[in-house]
Amino acid sequence: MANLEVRNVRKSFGDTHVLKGISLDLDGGEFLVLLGPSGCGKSTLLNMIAGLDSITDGEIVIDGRVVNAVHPKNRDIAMVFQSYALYPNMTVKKNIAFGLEMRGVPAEERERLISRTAELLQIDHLLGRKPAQLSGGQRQRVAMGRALVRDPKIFLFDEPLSNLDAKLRVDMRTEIKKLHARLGTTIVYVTHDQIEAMTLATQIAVMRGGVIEQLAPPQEVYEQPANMYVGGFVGSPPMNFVPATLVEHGNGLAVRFACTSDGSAGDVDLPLADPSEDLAPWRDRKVIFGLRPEALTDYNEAEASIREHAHAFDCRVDVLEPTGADTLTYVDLGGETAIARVNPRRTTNPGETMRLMADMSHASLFDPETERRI
Amino acid sequence: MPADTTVTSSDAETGVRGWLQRHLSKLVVAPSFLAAVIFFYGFILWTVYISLTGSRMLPDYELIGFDNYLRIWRLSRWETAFDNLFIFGVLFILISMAVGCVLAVLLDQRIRAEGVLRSIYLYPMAISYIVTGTAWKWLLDPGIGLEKAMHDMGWTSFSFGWINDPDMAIYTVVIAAVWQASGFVMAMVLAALRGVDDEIIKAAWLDGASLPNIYRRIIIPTIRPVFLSAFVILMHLAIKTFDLVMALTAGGPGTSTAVPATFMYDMAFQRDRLDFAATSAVMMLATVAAIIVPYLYSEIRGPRRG
Repeated sequence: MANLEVRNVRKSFGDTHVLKGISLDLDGGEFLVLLGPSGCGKSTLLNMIAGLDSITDGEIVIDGRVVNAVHPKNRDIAMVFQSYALYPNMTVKKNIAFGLEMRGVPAEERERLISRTAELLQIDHLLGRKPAQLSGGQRQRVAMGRALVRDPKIFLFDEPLSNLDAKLRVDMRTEIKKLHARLGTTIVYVTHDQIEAMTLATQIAVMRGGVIEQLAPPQEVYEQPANMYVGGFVGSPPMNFVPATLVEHGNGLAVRFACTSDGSAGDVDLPLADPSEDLAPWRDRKVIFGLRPEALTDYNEAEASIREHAHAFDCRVDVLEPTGADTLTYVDLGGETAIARVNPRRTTNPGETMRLMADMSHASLFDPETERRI
Repeated sequence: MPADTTVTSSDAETGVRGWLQRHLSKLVVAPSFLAAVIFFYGFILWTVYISLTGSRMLPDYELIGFDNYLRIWRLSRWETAFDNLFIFGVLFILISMAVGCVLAVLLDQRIRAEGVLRSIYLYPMAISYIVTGTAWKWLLDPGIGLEKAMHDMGWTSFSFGWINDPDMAIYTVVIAAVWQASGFVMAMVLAALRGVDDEIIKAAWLDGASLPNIYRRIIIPTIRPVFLSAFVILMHLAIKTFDLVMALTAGGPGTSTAVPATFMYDMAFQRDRLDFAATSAVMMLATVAAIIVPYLYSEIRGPRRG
């Protein structure tokens, strides 16, 4: 367990700036996921923490010690690579033992640590095999064993599940989560898969173009995205963004947007759940109204009556996409396509009008200029 | 009746065409297959047979047993040829491998203009041994080559006359052959080094291995099959060497750079001893086979290496 601090770290290759000032502070035992599309700099940041990439500017601090100039092997970190990076010429046992051997751990001690790790990961029966004789999931376990056996301060995972098939990926995800719960080691984990990020992380750093767009616990990232990019990147399907105007409504405020129903275009007003003072300057101005698909559902009287901020409106249905549990219903709100999660038993045919219900307690508002959360 | 005839003839046609379609690939391959069987394997057997006879200028088909295999070892010229093969083979293989590896490791450091350098190093492999031999004959000739160039530049005490020295001439063959083959070894080793996953090296780095340790414990064992392949290829090149020696020293001075291949040529076409020529040819074949057969066996039948 160690805390990790990244202080305004930059990475440039000539005029190309890969990381433009990254800062984060991680307590011991946290599970940080660096989430972003390829090329956002997340792997570069991980490599810099590992010491495999040089740091152009800024500091990386592990347990209070600046490690910028410390050799990777002396940082007391272990890394699991995307390709597993097992040594092909060595057996599983030697693969796991290599790091211990290089550090001069005595033979009996090595034996003890290897058998303990192998047991933990259930790979004891594979110890005599070469990596080529293992399946993808087994290689993944060995790669984790190699990292675990040294009992490092920090674990780094570089897209460890991206080479596995879908089913195995879900299984290994659970394994990693269990492992973290059991060992309590600090973990930094890189992925472009937002579901992996949501399920594993205690903190998510959503990255884009070399900057962190939002650093927060997963639920907060999901419910209160810092900007439209985060709202669109996290969640599947992504958050709906509806161009709207903020208008006065009774004592509070409402979002007003165009919507077609029963063959005629009209405006819909949805009152905000908490029209705080901060929103006053936005009155009668354009905003982007963000709503998760699961907050936009089929109208249900019983539910509408218990949910204080649920408001109903009519809208024409464009497309239906059944997914099994829900049917994704595409509607046109304010000129943009929005997706509603509808109970499959209560769908309406495309072209017809349907009564929808928006739970405004989950609404987000964004500035159309800066795309930031208001 | 006429209708019946038409049907039959078109049946026959589809029959021929069908047969052609099914056997065309075999027909196309047949001539070269036949040529291979007769000219490779047929003449190997013929050569083996001749080596068991007392043929002189012309083949004589009366068997005399394994006498030739005993008598050939009493010829000082064969002994020279075999010693030379040993010296040449060992030095050629070791130096080519060493130079090739060093070049490959240096080129692997992501240097600029790597493509150009790689082509330059590989280029000698594209030249025939006759050209290599002739070019190096000129370079090593004290009257016109390196020695003269040094003298012209003012280093008058410089002397490099190995090519005319019976004790040293074989080493000039080594120099020319290494020049020709080390680029090829480099290309093989470089391709193998490039095949080693970057992440493996990073992992070893994090595991605390030093650079020599990474090479010794991980990279070299990983690319070991390439060394074996390079060794086998160089080995059979060494045993076959004929044109390089003919162009560079013609086996001289005297017989000091004779190798089994030039021995065979001399015996067959200059000394009218077909029996000794055939015997030496069979011995060369046996030497190559002794190396290639286990290699092929391990490649084809052996368990897949991981």
